[in-house]
Amino acid sequence: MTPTDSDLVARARRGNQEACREIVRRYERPIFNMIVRMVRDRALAEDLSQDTFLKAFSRLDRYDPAYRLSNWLFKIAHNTVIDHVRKQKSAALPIDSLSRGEDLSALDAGDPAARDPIETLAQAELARAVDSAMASLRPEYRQVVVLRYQEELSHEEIARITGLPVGTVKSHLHRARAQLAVALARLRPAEAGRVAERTGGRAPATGSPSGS
Amino acid sequence: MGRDPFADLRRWLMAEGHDDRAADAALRKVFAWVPRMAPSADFADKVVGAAVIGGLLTADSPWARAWVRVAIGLGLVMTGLAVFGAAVASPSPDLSSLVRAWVAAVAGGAAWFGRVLEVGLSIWRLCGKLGAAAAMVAATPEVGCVLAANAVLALAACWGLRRLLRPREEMVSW
Repeated sequence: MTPTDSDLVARARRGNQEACREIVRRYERPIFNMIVRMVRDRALAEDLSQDTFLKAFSRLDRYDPAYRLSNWLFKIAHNTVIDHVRKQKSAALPIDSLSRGEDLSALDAGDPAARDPIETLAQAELARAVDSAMASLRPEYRQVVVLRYQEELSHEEIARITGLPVGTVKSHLHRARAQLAVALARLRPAEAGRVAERTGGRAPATGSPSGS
Repeated sequence: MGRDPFADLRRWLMAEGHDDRAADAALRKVFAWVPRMAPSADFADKVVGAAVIGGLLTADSPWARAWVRVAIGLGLVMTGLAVFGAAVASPSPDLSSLVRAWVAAVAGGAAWFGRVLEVGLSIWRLCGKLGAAAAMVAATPEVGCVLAANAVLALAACWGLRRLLRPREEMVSW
């Protein structure tokens, strides 16, 4: 029987290594995915993910089982990235080991043998296009997009993780989607006309935060 | 999630700008095609190893394993039996010589402890004399004010440094 998160946390609080290992295995992918989408540097993302789990292990007594463990870890990951950015004294996060074509090979695309090769190719192409489009977004937009559309969290959960008001989360998502649409339409020229028509031809914004 | 990733992309792009809720749902379907990125395969082991080195977790103790406990228990039983056997087989020891040796050891230990204590107390006495001499010099209003101001400044600097260095992580309050 698979142990619940509460069971694992209870054992991890007693210093059980296997429970800690299981917590990491269970959540390494979503945590790493969010961080790497924010910082766009695999090595740095792995370091920050490790820091996230170490901080979590050192603060397990503060974890309230009324909340999902994943969301607690997301919040620690968010704060870890923000701390890192502050320490670097730069709002501009490192540019982009990923957008230079690193590492779509590292994406887990499921079991390719079990699937139609054309579908697999199409998926890889779409993943690459989405990845490139995501690179044009600001880091905080990338984060809310990942949390909303990949982790399928509610606006309220995202607000709790990021410390933003719910309205700001919705506004970030709205803008991020509009920018993603324009960026993806550029990568897919067939869609460009329709999207540009609807968005008023806006290019993806890369300027200063809106502060909404 | 349909069979064609780009059909889902087209559906989202068609909805975007028209219908916020539909666009929201459609983009989820697009992202269902985008796999999460994964860290290196040994990431969990690295994290747990770092936690052990950092003292967050205790290393797996070999004493905790059942077979080790059984082996230790058996060893103790065998030792006990061997001692018991030796005692039965050998003539009874001279009890008075054992008591004398024990008393001599305790007396020697107490004398040694007294000497160590004496040395420690003499160091404290010296420190006390130095402190009294310094107090004679420093016990003026001017020096007192300077020391008090210095203490206030140090406290303020500590407080400011702590605020500057306080990580956001401490604000997690779940």
